[in-house]
Amino acid sequence: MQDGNRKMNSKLDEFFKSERARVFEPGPYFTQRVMARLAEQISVQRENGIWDGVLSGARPVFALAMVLLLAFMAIQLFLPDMPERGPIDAVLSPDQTDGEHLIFSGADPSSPELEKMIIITEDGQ
Amino acid sequence: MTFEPELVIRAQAGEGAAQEELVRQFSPMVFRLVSRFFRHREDVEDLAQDVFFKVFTRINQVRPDENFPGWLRRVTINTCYDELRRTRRRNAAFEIYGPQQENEPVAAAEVLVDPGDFGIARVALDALDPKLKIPLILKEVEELSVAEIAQSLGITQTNVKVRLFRARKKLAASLAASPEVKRS
Repeated sequence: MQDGNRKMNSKLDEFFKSERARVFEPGPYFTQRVMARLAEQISVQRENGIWDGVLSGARPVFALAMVLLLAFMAIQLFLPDMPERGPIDAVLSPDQTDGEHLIFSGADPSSPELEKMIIITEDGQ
Repeated sequence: MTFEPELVIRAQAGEGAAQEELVRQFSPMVFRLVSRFFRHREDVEDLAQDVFFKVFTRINQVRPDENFPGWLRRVTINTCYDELRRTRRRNAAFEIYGPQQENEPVAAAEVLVDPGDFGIARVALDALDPKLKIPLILKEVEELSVAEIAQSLGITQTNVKVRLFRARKKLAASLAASPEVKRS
């Protein structure tokens, strides 16, 4: 048994020794090949756009978000701001007196200052 | 040729000449290490390229006071480990789902034809789990110390010793079970 183990160990030692001798050397153009691969990778990275930085699975979501954002910006840009007066106000306002305008503008009609102003404007007319 | 740490700083700054010089200086070391784990020259060359590619994409991780050759050795061993695991998974999948690959690294027929050429030992070594194979090769073939292996693999020295013990035991068991060894 011990003799068998010794034989096997010596065989393994010989095997490891043979493995030590088995070495590949770099070829004459290895350095150039590595540098070319590096340069290629750098140029690919430069060519990559915004989509290459996004995971392929997340691209549809990202695209939808971009479309929504652009649509929102377009609406904000092209549609006019909400008018301060509604259509009914716009129609009726030419017929309103200054006193009525003060009342409909949302000011507190019970305040004595407003009451005084209405009397003054009504008297003036 | 002595290594100048200045080269790493210049390579970190993106200087092509410094990167080229690093490849020139360290490619024999990388080739030697990768040769320990792979038997075909094409595989060795491809992996050596991968190693340098990784090195230059992560070179900013090297601290000025860090031992660059040691760091490079770690990157090389990790690259080999990843590739060995991939090969092992691929071979396992082929055994289950597909026909045997034509250009297997070590074919059984080769062992039968040339048993004197350590064929059985090679098969037994290649059959080892990369976790056991790498420390064993680093110890027995690359002749690194346990401390150096631990540092290269990022594990404790005790863990290295345990892995070496298991690797030797498995290798001996595989060899003892082979018909050629039984005959002798």
